[in-house]
Amino acid sequence: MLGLALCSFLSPTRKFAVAVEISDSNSESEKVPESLQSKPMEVDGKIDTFSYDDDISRKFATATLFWALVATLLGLLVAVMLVLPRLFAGLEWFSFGRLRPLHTNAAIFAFAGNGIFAAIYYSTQRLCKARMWSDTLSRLHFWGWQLIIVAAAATLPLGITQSKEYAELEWPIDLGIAVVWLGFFGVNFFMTLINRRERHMYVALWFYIATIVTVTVLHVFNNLVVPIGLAKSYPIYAGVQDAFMQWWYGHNAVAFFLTTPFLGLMYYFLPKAANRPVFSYKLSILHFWSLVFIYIWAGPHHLHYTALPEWASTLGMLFSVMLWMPSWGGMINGLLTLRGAWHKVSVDPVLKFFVVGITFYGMSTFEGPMLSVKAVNGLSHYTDWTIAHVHSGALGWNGMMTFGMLYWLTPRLFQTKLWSTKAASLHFWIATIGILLYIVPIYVAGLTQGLMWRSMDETGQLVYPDFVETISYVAPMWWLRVLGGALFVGGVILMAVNYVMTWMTRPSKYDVPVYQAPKLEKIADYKEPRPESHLKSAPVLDLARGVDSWSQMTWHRRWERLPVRFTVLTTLAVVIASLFEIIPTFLIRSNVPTISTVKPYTPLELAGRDIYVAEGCYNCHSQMIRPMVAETKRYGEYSKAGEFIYDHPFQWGSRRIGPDLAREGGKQSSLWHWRHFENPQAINEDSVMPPFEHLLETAIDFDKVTDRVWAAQKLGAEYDFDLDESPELARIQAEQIAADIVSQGGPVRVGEVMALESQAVALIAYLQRIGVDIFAPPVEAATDTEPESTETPGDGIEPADR
Amino acid sequence: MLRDVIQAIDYSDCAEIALALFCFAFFLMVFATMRLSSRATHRFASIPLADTVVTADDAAEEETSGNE
Repeated sequence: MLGLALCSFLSPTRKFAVAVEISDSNSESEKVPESLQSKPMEVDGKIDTFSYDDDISRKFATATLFWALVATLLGLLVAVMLVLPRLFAGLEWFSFGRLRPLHTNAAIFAFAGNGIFAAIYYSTQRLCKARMWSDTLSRLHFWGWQLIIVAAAATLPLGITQSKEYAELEWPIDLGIAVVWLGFFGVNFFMTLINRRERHMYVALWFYIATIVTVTVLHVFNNLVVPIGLAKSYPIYAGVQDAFMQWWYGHNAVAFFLTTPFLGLMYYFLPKAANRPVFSYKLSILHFWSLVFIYIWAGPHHLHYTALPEWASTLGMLFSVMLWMPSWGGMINGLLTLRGAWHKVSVDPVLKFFVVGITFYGMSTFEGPMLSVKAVNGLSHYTDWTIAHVHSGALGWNGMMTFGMLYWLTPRLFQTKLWSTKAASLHFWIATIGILLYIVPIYVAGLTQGLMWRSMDETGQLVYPDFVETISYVAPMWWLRVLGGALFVGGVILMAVNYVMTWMTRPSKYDVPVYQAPKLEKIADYKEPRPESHLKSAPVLDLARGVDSWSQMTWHRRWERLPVRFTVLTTLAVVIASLFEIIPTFLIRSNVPTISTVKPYTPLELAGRDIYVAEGCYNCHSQMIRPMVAETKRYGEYSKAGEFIYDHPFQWGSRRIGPDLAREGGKQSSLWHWRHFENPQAINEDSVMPPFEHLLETAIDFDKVTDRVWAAQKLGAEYDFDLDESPELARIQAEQIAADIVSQGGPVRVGEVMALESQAVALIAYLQRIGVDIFAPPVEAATDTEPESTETPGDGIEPADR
Repeated sequence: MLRDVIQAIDYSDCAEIALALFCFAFFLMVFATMRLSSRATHRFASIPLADTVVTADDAAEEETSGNE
């Protein structure tokens, strides 16, 4: 926002000269004095001399490759964890729940993020015919971003997490992201646009603008929290609203971090690699605005058949299906850019990567709308089908496009030949086969899971009542996924070798080509007249003449020259679309009917819930029973919106690698949970849950319980005891649960830690509370005023069969 | 009264209003985009090709084709 304000201040109404004559001149091996390198110099009063900052592109390209290795290795590691759950038994930092978010963050923000920045820094300078506005901001951006990634790598394995997908990082890191993204990157980018020497903003720049503004809006509003320390906070939203905000963010993180910047990358690097102009500039205009407007609405398709109000779910489905159209506009534009150049694809690995990348984009953006249809989603939600879809996009579209870009950039950035074109081609084949070997078995696994979960016999009973049966069936598919992932990692390693070997043949000193171009004048000598209508002499209404003038789109051409106005309009499109969904979700009380028997969590349960969040249990377990016969048969009464009003953050989950826990309370004894944490395979040998022995051996910090209760009160929970009593109340409840465990045959202590002090007891307290409130006897009305809209037991809700 | 009004509105109409808004904006955009001159679009599409950088590979290729 500060950056946008600054830009507005600097150029509210600049008018530019009509035509820009550009002349490039490469001086051979000319050493450009430092004084020329950061700022252009006026020569003859009109012509600027400048050079591009390729050092920052080199930095980001190198970081991209490094984090590609890290992200893909992490992916391989978590895939292995699912097939060998006891591999890291005893090491709490190496559980699937803690490391899977590290993998997703590394893949999205470290690998794809650095790739985006490499693309943007290289292409923006050339499209603007201007060096980046500030070399200092460029470097602050680079190092700031790497620091954020390192902070993620340090905090997530320690269980420091907000447990919101792709937004797991805690608030200090979120603040850092905001400063780096907007303060360093955003300001630098927009000031470069304002100081450009090419009048027309090429389409790639529009996609970059949309990326920067939308990610800012999404990041800020999804990460509004109440902190209780540097390492812990609670979102201001709860339950249904939190779920809505999270997936408004989550899906648009995919849209505006993994799609729009890569489309921008495609629109620059594909024409460069193919030496062909983009197929249809008109199509790029159409699909840009359609994409930006439609994508924002699609978030609720992650919440079909959940407690989200149905109108929101329908809205999300409708716009998700429409999203197929602009997405394929991008695909078509990309693939048809190669018309007349297809013969190059067979010899150029860069084009091979781009063609397969764009094809995967087309497949993913067809599959996505299909998965957004409620009927299809009823089968696919929580299954591996979602994972296959994600990886088809992430590996196929993001991965392949990044690799293609890096192979094109590497010889240019290092001013040498690529070490091995054959190795690049080999990488292409390994990556493609690896992706297929990943996604095909996982599609099979996903369909298997979905069909097995809903399978019922002629007597109306579940065919597979034991959840773990589905795991046994799909485990072989998971082994194939490991193989596919290993192949993909192998390809990245090959690329790293090629990159390093190319770097080693770089010149001792890089050439810095010097360019000349006239500065765009601040104030034009003339004002562009309104275009004359072709119907000027025709016997038609003035309205017809006006429409004809308007349709010549000089107004859009003006926007394409005015970065600030373009940015504001893009932001408006995104914000208006968001508000259409957000305002009703928050304002309408009937969206979340009150259930009088749902009460706030006790102090111990709050502590236990925080352990559930820290361990990342939501990565495997959902807490949302959908209103489908097979689900209510398996798990119990379907979940109601009013049950989650105290859930900061919501824990509905998006996967079922383990069973749903929404009605877990009271299903198992406390000793069962204790033993299950200690060794899940002792309870069920086919379980893929890792052991959580550290929970039995680590003590709760009862003093910190007070802060948790304070935060819950701040966020709307009403308690009838003093804050100071919280630790004592927690201890009393812990003693009761520990007594149950001991009386059932469990241990009094594990190592130095008494059972009644262990984290396991707190987590058990929380698990025993989940989903039981709606079956509690109704509270007798103490006042004359009735709640506005309530559901109470006795309205036909019966406890599920135990 | 405002609260009563907001509570009384049927928010399932949001989907239909949004669709209508989008369709209106989209068809306007299509109509206007089709009117762009091909000269303008050709010029814009050529922008990224205007800064061709010669690499060592390109130079080697040129030398080879020059020798042929």
